Amino acid sequence: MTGTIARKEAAETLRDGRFRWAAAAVLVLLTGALISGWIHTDRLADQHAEAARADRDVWTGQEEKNPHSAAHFGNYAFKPVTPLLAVDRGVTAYTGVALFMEGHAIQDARYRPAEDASASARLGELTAAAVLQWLVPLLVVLLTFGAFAGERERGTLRPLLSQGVSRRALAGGKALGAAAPLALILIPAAILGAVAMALFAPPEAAAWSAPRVGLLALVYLAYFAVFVGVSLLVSALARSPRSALLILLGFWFANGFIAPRLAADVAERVHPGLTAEAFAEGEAAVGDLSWDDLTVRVTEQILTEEGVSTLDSASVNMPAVRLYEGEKMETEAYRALFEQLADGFEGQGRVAQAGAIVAPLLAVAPLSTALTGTDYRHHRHFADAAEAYRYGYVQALNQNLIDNAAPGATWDREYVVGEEVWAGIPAFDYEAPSAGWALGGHGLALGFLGLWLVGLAFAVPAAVARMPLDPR
Amino acid sequence: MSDPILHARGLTKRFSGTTAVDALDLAIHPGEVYALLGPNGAGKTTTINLFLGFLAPDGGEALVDGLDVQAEPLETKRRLAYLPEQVALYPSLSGAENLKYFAALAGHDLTEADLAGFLDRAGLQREAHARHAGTYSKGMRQKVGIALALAKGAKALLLDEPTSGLDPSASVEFSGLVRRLAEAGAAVLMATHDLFRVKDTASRVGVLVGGRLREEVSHDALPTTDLEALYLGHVREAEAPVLS
Repeated sequence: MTGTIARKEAAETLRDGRFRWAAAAVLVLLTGALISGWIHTDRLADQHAEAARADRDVWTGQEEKNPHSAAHFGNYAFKPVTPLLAVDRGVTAYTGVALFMEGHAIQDARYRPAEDASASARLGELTAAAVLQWLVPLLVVLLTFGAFAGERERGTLRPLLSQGVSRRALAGGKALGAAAPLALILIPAAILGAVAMALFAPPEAAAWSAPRVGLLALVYLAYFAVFVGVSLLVSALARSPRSALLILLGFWFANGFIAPRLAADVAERVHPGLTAEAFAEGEAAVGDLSWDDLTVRVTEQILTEEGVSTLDSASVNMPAVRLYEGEKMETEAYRALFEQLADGFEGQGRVAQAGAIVAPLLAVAPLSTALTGTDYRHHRHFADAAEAYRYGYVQALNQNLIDNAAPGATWDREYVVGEEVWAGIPAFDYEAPSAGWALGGHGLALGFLGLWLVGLAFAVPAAVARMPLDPR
Repeated sequence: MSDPILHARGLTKRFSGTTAVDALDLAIHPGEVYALLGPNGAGKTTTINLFLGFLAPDGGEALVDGLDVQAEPLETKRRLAYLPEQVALYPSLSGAENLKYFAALAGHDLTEADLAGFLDRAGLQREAHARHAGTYSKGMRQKVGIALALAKGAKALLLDEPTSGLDPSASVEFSGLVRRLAEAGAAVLMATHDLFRVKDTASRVGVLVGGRLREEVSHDALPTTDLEALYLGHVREAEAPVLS
């Protein structure tokens, strides 16, 4: 029964010239966005790989120098470009693509694509995520607003139900009937994306992406199912197809355009986070940490541990030990500052996700950026890994200085190292987190999306069971 | 006599304190065309809705082929064919596609030959079978409704003002189709105020005014009864206190 209704609904929809035009437009935009996204991603991946190679060459090819000077010479960690950036660019335009790693300081990522973007790009890029989050729901609304209200106005609801069709089967058939034409748009686009990834993405990137693609598909299916459910609910209860359409367009607009801005404003008020001014003050405070106090502390430590009365009698180079301890001191302060900054962003994200109770996009958008690896949390994961690498290699160079510099109280300007030491510092090798990790931070979004689905699974049959048969 | 297909026992329905159908007792047997005569608001459509299960009674029960409509809502509907005053079809589907769809919902999977056969028997011209129903006249839409009754093998027909708005020849043709369905064994309940068509089609007549069945005219008495006088008499009697 449900299948019969679904087939007829799909057949009617496919015959509708307005649907065919709208579907063709969405399909063209979706495939176009995927193709342009893929070209952008591919070019970016090549640029990052080339830049990473060049930076490594610069590092290993640097002239002989003191190990701590090499720590200041620094090197770059380039954020990996995943194939899924072609689907959703998330916050990548604003978080920077490379981190400069050197001694004494943790830096924020540099080279934000948004800084170089044209005016038109700042107004909003057409990505596959934008098509999936805004245009496909609009198509769902146009497909389903008349599901019951239209039948009622046309007078076919009574004869339909007088054939012995249960209202539950009718609701199921209407939902499936909307899904079939949507599948005609989404499946070719999904196949195109899968083929592009299989053919052109490096095997390890494709393997990393595969489970995420599956989960992403489920998230978007759930999102479309929510829109189908809301549309059926409104259509069952509305006075006329026209009022159903108006209500649903209002919901679509509020969900897609008002709720995200409102949620961001509320999140900022509820969870103010660290302002740029406060962050700059924090950075200045790290710079003001007293190296004189550290010198006294390190000197006392060396004299006590070695049981000597002057540093000239000690077996280690005090300035080298001081550099090691200073790096530790500054790193702790910097990490606390960045932690505060990141906690602010993530706190705001959680508050915004709570808005998903009224606007499902507020659940889907963060899940989409999480699964494509383009959210702030992934950026933080990368930045934390880069920081761990930075601290490790800077301290390895400081330890080299401790181990080899001439003992005493003065800076050993004679001690230099070369290629062997540079090559001994391994290149930064970042392992992106798993799909499970990506979802782990979004329990709230998953919960609300699930709540929408469960709520509609009860609400739609209940509304259909009580809906009037004749126009009011 | 065989058991009634459509059976109302003390059937009562009230809306906000107004009794639309008042303890209605009715039994329509196979082969009978029962015309329920009454003015607007008499309770005719409410009675049909009660047999369809679209309304729950406040008292009594409606039975279709011995099954309680409230207890077996889907099964009773499968044994019924329902033609409202305006038979509504899906305009972008052809007559044949509409028939196939509605029949499939009632559990009948029809072949192309079946579809053509039922539409032919209902009198729909061949050239119209594949035409979009959006281009159909009311009479043509009703023929699709009759074809559906044939396809379902419906044991009972519920007709709500079926000839309203039909031209005389379409009306005559429709009456002929209804009689043939009854002759084939269907029980027909026809709610109408078309006295002329009642005389032409019905085998039994009930006058329903203010939700109450005021009088029944048997098949034998029909040829000699002045239905118009009977009908108007009951209507005026019911309206008298209001008019005075």
